[in-house]
Amino acid sequence: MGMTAPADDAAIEELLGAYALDACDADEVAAVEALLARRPDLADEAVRLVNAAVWVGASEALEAPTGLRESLFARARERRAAESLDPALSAYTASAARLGDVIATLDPSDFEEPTPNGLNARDLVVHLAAQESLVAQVIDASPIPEITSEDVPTRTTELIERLADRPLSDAVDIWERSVEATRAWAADESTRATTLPWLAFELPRDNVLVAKAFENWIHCDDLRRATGRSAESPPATELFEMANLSLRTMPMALMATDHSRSGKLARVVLTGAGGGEWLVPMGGDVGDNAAPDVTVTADVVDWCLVAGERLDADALQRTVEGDETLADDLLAAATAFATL
Amino acid sequence: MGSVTAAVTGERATSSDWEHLVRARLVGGEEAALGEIYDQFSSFVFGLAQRVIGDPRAAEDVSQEVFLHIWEHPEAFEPTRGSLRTWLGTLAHRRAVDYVRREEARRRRQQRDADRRSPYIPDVDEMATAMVQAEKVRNALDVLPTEQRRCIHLAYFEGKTYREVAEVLGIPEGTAKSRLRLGLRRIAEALEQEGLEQWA
Repeated sequence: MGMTAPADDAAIEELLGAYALDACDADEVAAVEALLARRPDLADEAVRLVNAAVWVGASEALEAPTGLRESLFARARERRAAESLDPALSAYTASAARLGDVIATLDPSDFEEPTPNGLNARDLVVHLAAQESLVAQVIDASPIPEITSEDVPTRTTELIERLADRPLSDAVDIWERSVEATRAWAADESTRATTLPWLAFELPRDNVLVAKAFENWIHCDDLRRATGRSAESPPATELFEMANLSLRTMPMALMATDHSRSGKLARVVLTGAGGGEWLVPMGGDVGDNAAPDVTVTADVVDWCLVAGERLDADALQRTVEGDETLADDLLAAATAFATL
Repeated sequence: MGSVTAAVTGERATSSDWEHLVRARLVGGEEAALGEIYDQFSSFVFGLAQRVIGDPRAAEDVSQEVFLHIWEHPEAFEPTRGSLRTWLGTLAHRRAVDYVRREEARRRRQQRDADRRSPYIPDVDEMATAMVQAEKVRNALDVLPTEQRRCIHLAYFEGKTYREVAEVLGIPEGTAKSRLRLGLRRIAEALEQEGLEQWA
């Protein structure tokens, strides 16, 4: 199927009916939405046509299967822990539940599909098992104690070789047992104040859990895209935890990437559900009452995608007030989080 | 969520106190709010997904994803931008079409397990309302010229792009585009005459 951007407004306007029926390609959808943003008269027509299309769907109302309601609530509880007193653990378990759901939909015809991290879909699942079992290893609960490397690429390679002739369910089993081991460990209140040796750092337990939730989201979307589905951002409560981790660890990331700016203070405003506002010391002593030297405003999902190396920093839509070179330093360091 | 609702930002859209309230309850994580939404819209969402996909088990999965989406992203539904039914219907259709297109791209995949789940037991009250509405919608569809109805059927229920619609029917792409737009306009007019222009 061709992906041809329409040439002019009149040509785009002709697409309104197809747009309302989800019968356009992605480029055309983007073109229609850009047109609607500047033509309120057409936006009114789009509302009317979308409503009509949804009514067409109503002609097929059919009672849902009896077990669907119960199944929905079971999934809902897994995926979103309301009013959680442990947001880091909630983010971890909910993101793992979503990732598990996507893994469960893979079939052998998907295995060779390439993913954004360079592995095919099958090997990405093995990579997830390698990563997750490393966390389990750190807490002495690895389901594959014979693999001991703490280097994720090495670990992934070893596991890919080991499982080469095995069904994917073997990798899924390792992943699931590792997730359960980590969840059970973290559910113990006494772990709340502990730190873990994680890759090159000694990190608080909450940071490790949120970093893992971040990875779960990014790789879940990798698999969704590889199998022709659209990406889906996490709930606002989880996004906040991820953005918060990204910005609280920013001073360390600035140092690690050689982008520290002594005495400078940045204000980062992330918009959208799950967003917030953070003051980031960029290096050295910034004083107690220092005014920000730069304010960077961006969408919270986009910021997290930059941090997860799924959106190029240059492509991040943002506004910068103040010293733009400081904003460049922040963005250059933002992806350091992806290595945690 | 999908692009359609993101763009449907008209000031004229309807909203209700219930929709504002149920959204706030979802944001607060109240499961009962999800239950209310499910009870009100499950036959609509499942029926639509089943019609597009043609497989009850896949339609169940898509329906579940639709309701999980609003559970996880209640803030994405803006009552001032349109009704909850339109939001859910747009999402259900988009997900169902995605599923159909994904499956079509996987021709070589192995045969899906053909077993079926237990038969459906309709809820009389909900189904009665849904059936009356469905009858009105079918009446509205009947006013369409055959060629417009066929185009809309192919695009909406079979998940085809307008280019594919043109190819199937052997007509120019421009003709397919205009039939889809004119056809939806006629449906909108007919539904307005039936008193179904709003979902409140």
